[in-house]
Amino acid sequence: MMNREQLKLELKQMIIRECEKDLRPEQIPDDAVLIGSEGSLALDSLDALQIALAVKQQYGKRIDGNNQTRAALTSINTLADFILPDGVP
Amino acid sequence: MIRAISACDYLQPVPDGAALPPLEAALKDLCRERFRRIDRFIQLALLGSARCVAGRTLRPDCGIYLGSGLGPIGNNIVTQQQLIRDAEIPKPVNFVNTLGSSAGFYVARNLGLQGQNFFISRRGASLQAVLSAAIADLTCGVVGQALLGVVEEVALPLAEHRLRQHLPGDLTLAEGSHWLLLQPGTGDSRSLELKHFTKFAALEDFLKSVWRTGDRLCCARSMEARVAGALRRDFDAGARPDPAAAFHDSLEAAWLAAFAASPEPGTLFLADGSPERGWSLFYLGA
Repeated sequence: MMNREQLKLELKQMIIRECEKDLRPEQIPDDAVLIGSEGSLALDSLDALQIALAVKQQYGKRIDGNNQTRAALTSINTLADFILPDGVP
Repeated sequence: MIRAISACDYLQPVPDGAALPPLEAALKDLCRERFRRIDRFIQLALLGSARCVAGRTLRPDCGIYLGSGLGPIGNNIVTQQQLIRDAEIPKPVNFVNTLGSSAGFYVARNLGLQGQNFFISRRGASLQAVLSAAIADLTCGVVGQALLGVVEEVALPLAEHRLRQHLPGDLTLAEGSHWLLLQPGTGDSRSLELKHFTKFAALEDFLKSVWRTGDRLCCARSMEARVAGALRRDFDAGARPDPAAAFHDSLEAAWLAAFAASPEPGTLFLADGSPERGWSLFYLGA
């Protein structure tokens, strides 16, 4: 099973690919705000949809409109928490 | 009088077995920012429009009139494959860019335009559609300037692209991005006019009255072959671009833009119509 650090690296690579950002994975802090103009990545709602669909296709986890799952898109950390089963380090 | 003050003609044949030429490096020099989420159709639109404008300051009320026969075909194929073949939800960026008007959005953003922005698709007659709209708006003063473009993209593989358009298997295909910057006024640039005729004989009579040695005639593909043949026999004395040399759905736009950009004397006439629709004659003069 994939550990948390591997997953976070994959998520950063996925975001860079899906959102066509000129960044390297190490330039995205784990706790950086992903969506919105206050975040360093400045991703918008279309990026959020793009990431949500990629997460569904790659990890089988559906980010829908409710607040709990939407919060998964807050940062790399929250996205990893959302995808990983409880107890995975 | 409407004048074509600038033109860009990008026509790139795509040989069989070849990859599509990358456009990123050219766009890096032409665009004022690096755009994300753009497909090849948008790239072609950005390339042609930026080359046509060539650093000019455009009027704030400059309108964009973008036409295409096939539109963003590559992106449409990807989206249809995601939906139908893979039974998946299409990626949002692919889905959004299936709209031809996405390209107009990026052209406006790149050139800092906030005026009206049209996308018109009409198989085999997209140039005529955007020309008619732009001329009408310029004549009525709806816009003070019109940036008019016709973009055609090739989607690989070429065999499927030909099949999709019912084209012969040996026809060379091309991508194109053909643009004119139009505005009312006087000056040395070429004038652009449009006349409508209810009867074909009236179009012929008009052509006879204005035709000069060295003028060119282009008959739209949508014209009935018999009628176009008769017109060419009577009027087309000069050399014409060979439509078999490289084809896309709006090749008339390539002829018009190339002529507008050239210093050649004379007038290029573009004839179109049918007995049902009536007849029209666009002409780009000295």
